[in-house]
Amino acid sequence: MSSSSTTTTTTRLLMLKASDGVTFEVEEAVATKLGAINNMVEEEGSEDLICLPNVNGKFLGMVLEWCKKHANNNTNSDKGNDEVNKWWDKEFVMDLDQNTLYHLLMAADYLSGTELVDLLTEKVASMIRGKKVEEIRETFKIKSDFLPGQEEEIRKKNSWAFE
Amino acid sequence: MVGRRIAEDNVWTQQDISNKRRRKISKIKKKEPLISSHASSKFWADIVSDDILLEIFFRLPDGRTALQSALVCKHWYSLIYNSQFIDRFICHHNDHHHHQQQHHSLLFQRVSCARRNMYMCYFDSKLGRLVSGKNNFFGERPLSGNVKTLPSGMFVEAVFNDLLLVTDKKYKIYICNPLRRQWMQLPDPPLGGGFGFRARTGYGLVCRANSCNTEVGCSINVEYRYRVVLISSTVMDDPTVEIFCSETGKWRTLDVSFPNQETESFGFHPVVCNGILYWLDGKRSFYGISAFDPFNDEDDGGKRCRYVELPIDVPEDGLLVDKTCFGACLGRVRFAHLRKINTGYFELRVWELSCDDDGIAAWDLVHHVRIERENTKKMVPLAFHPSNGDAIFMSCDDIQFCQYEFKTYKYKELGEWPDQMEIRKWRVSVSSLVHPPWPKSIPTLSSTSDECIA
Repeated sequence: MSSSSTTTTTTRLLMLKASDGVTFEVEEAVATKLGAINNMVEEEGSEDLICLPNVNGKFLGMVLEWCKKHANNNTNSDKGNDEVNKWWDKEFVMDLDQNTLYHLLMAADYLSGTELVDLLTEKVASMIRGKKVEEIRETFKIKSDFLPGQEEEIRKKNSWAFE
Repeated sequence: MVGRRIAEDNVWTQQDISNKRRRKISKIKKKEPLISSHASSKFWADIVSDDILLEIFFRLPDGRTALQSALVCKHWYSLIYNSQFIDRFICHHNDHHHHQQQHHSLLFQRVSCARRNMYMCYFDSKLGRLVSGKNNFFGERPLSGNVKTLPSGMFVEAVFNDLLLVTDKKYKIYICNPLRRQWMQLPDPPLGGGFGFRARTGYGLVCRANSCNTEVGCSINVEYRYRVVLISSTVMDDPTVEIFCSETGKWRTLDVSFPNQETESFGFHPVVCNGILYWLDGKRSFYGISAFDPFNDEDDGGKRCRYVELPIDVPEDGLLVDKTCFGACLGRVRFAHLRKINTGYFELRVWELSCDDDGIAAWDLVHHVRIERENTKKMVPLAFHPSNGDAIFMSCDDIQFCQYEFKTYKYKELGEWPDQMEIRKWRVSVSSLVHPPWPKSIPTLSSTSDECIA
């Protein structure tokens, strides 16, 4: 990821190193969209290489792609850009498979990318909406661990929610 | 108090608990290799952190969906059936969800002159159409509460969000939440029993949060107080006000005289806004609005009861109800007046009420439009959209039910009135029901305290 800055002031570049050794060169303004990186930059000053042993390169790349989009579009905050961002976000999460979605969410959470966590949790919630319990289990590959009768007992107690 | 009660129940056996502990330990171990990229079926049940799971659950559309999701596995259940879950869920929804999306229903009831006629139909904003019949709305029978069968001849007298104040043909009073199909009968009021010379002329229901949590703010869901207000009068006397207080479980008579002494009778559905009840004064036509604060027990500064003049000149014989609309939108009282200029040509004005600290009321004109609708002879403004300030619901020519948008000057036809409504013949009472993120439960009555704490 190279910087394609058109501004005249030189923007500082940071090196981010993922768990599998893949490195990314990003503008500070992009990387500091992530709370964790922002903290490191503020606390540690001019460390230019940041190691992220908990995030693999594939997902770090995706997280940074998101950051870049949002950092660029945030500079001039008019309503049209807001719409563009929303549309872009929609595309970003549209075809994520379970595995990617999960790892991306973990990476965003670990890097304190609050807005990205919002976007991804919203996506997961949308996958629960309108589904029956069995369908949710199937979607998320979860096995029921209730003992026989327990499920029925819970249903009975809040029967209004199961009509 | 559903969440907490169930969480405390001993649904789990000892073995479950030890399983849970084991899972906790294994969770910490598993959490480390975040980098692995192979798919595992354990992600969403076990490995993902509780905080993330909660963030996902808070984004579910309503309490019903959240409770259904709790049945997926024990871990999800333990997070959703947690004592703080409901408050945090409501808090998230209040902060993040636009009012535009709020689900609401409008309940239409036929009102006859002598006593009410029991047919009703309703509009559901999610379905986007009119649905006929009260059994569809209330269900066949109550699911919980101290009422086993639905009262016959029920009539909705007042609304607070998703709670309804309902009476049956024997004048018994109930509080009901149709979303949970929960019912509770209140004790009979000592004076305004509904029989004899004394007639009930006004009802009101207001809820208030018990306490406000600094983290999640005030929510009226599980623990809250409420007041039921009943106004009754005889031909000879001024109206009598009785108040039912949820803390004491008792009725008491208030020494209140409404400032407008000419008040013949109330008789219209009240509007509740910021804890204040507003009634149109009058029976078939009206002159002004009475405002009453049921939580102001001491009547400090005489603010408990006020009279509000209407924003238009009122003719000597009063305003007719089918030319006006009185209601609330986004926490503000609104009043609309429709004037027919010619066939297919109407003038509609909408005002909003604002009150300063001294209770001095002022009306602001928020909409003033000329409506052109070819060949339309009759239009009746019925109700304000509860969460869209630029929309009003109307009835056209006693046939169609539609939504009018002030900004685009456009109509959306939402359905035709069912024949049984006989909309030509009867006045229609409209109740606006807002579906909160989590339907309120009706607290059981306790008789521990004797004082009503305001």
